[in-house]
Amino acid sequence: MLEALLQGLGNLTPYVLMWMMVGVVVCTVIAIIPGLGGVFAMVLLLPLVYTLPPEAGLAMLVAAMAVAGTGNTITGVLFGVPGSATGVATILDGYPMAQKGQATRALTAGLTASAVGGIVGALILAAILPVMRPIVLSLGSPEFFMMIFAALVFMAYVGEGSMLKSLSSGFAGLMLSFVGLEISTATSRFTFGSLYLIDGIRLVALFIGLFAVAEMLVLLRKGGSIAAEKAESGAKAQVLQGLGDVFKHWRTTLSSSTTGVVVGLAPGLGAAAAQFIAYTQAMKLSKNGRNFGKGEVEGVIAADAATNSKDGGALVPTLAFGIPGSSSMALLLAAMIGMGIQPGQEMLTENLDLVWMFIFILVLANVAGAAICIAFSGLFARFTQVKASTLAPPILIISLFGAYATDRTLGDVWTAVLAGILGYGMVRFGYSRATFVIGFVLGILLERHYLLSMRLYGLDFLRRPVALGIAVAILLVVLMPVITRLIRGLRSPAASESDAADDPQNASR
Amino acid sequence: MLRAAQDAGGEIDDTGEGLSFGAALLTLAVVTGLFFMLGLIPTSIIFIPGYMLAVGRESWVRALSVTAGLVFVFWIFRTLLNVRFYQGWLVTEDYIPYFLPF
Repeated sequence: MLEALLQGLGNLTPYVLMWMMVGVVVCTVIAIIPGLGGVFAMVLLLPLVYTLPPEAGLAMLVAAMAVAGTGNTITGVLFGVPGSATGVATILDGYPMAQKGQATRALTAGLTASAVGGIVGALILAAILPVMRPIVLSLGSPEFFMMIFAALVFMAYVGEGSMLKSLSSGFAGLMLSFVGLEISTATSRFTFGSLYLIDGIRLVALFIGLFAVAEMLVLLRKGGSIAAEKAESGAKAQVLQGLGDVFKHWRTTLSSSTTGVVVGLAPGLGAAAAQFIAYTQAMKLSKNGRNFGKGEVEGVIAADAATNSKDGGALVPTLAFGIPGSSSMALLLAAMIGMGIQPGQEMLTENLDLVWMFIFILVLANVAGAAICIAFSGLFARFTQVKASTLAPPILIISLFGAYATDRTLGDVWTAVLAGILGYGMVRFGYSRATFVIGFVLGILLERHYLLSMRLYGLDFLRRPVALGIAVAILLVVLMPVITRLIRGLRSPAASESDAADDPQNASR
Repeated sequence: MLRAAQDAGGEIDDTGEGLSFGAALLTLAVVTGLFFMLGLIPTSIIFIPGYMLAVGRESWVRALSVTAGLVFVFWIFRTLLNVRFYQGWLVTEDYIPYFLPF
């Protein structure tokens, strides 16, 4: 193991590091364009990978994967626009912070949390290398189902406005996820005979519409600029504040990073699920949970830490079993197989030095990507002061470009436009887009894992230890306020009356 | 009509800088329609300066700078990264030739 570690470190020659930086810069620039994202950048780099020596090519690809979330932070905070599907949770608090003139602080906190999350993910990957197989084998569809169910239960607490509106939005998102072919019987649902809808509503087009187009409609209506308030402090002060926020909220940073790794271990859950599960978990555990969705920096930290840390976890099934957990992992796997490097036992024995190199690259690329973006964060933040009439037209056009670029179908452009009008309506009438998106993303995964669990285990899947543990945790969290009130009521009736008045869950949200 | 739309948009904030709901929807419809008919680059060249001059009352220099900047970014994507753009319904149906260099 030590020999492989040193060999992995030795692989990091200046030539390899140079190509790592190419991956970092290219992916960061491309990921800023709404709809394109890190996977698109990796696809563009793939032909180049085969022309380079294996270490350099794979270093470039892994570095691109590591910083894929960074571009999301920039567009999410500054414009309320997700760079890809994995950047939505960042918007929930990042954009409100930008509107209050705290864009630089939000950017710095998010980028630093991304870097820390990526490093934590890499370290956990290193720590579990010897026990990779049993850990991955212990997680199956029942456990994934319960994790997703937990996130859906907690989504009621996400977003502004009343809990009923949040739940309605989430339910609507869940229903929309059922459009397309049913996965076990291939029955078409809600397709209305359309070929385009057979594959379901496209995730990226929906997100571009709900957030990018909708926010530009809001901006056109509002006029002025994104930042409604002038920054209270200068860029330098906000950078320091953002850096300090990550370490001040170290519990949130570490727990979200760990959640990201755990979710990353599950093939198929992906970064979209990681960010929402971590976000809802952080909101429940934080003392400032009530402020989530209104510009709470912890929300930005939780989302970004999880998005980047999941790469460390996702590498486990990819390298140990050859099972890619996401599109980016599939691309990495394709590159490795194309170079004659087989995942599985061989990876963990003969090519262990390569695995260690991946770990070092994950750490270095995250730090480099965050450092570059933080250095320019003050400059980026000036975009929030630009007038709507200057900002909105190019962003609308970039959004249409991004919607079309993913699958090169005009149906996606229509989806983005219609989702934009829907998103504007949701903003106007106080329905949470966040819960809508959570319901949509997790609904697809929930159904898949439920069907698999029932097929494999029947209802006995609920008796598996990890799944049962998660179910008990969900029940405890949901019932805890009720139990606490009951216990206090039993102790003292007067105390129970004042508790009911103060309980935030009873206040209209 | 656009100035009336801006004045009507005063209900959004006190400065009266925003558009009315109808005008905002019309803006979205125009940019989408242009995109479908003409494709990405011509839409950028027509819509951005058109909107900035007519609605934003910005200067020609600023409008053309923003347009040139965006078209340059698209050019980089096309030339260096081989990203292909939508060329518009009129071109795909051969009503007009595609005359742009990229």
